[in-house]
Amino acid sequence: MSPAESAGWCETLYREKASELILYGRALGLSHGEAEDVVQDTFIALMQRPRPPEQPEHYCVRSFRNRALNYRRSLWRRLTRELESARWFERSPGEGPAERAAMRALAGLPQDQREVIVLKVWHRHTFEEIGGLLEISPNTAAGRYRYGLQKLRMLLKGESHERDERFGEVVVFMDTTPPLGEA
Amino acid sequence: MNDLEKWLYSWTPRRPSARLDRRLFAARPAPAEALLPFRFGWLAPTTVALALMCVLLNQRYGAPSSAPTGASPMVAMILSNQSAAAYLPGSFQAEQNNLPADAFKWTRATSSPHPPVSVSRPKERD
Repeated sequence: MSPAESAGWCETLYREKASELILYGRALGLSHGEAEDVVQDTFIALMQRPRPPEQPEHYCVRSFRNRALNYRRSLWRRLTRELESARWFERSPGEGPAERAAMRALAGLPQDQREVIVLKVWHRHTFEEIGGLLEISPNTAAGRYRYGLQKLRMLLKGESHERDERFGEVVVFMDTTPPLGEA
Repeated sequence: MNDLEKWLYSWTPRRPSARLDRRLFAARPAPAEALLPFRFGWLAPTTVALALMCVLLNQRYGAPSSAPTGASPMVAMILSNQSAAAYLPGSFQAEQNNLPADAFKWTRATSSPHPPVSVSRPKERD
């Protein structure tokens, strides 16, 4: 495979996956800039492959995770991470206090829970795939996911309760969320 | 997917910066016609600057002078120190101040007219 062909499929994969990988990097505790550095390393390694892997997306996520966990973070990087914008998501026109609170709550979850949530919701992985990637059983992955969402819901209820007290508003759907099923 | 999951999924993850995009994919070889203006874009001003520099330097150091090259600093030195007048190029005392070349000819010979004298005393035996 020529370098141009290799760059072609890599660029397609990059367009599809880069945002999700950066979000996954945030879930793993990296800053946006650090996650971008790891995405860069991942894609440079991909472009050097003679042929695309059998499952490019899964390979890419696994490679990204390994690199993110090995990424050495210096004091300077930690400081810049603290100073950097904490946003994990793009701003949307209709973004309200509930969204912002939920985003903060997601970032505040334990790493193992938010990692599974990001892989399940935004990467559309099944619990079997998540278990394979994290080297845990699918049931453990499902448990982390369920527990994480439960905690998120509780945090949001607390937030909405505080808001209700302040503004007299009600966030209805938080109470109507049905219990989670398996993947 | 329940409501909470749908709500979460509706959030768009933050996009990578344009800088990352450039770092990854801008290094690919560009078509030749795109490179030509860049390659020759800097050539013309650089050539003009070099030519201008050559002209300016030639005007400063290449001006015609009656004194041989390097004489001006010596004249200035002699004017400030009269005792060095004998070293002025063309001075009548040049012959007296310059030793003939063959004065040291023997130093270049392979053998010396006199054997070398050892400065250390020979060690006496008991």
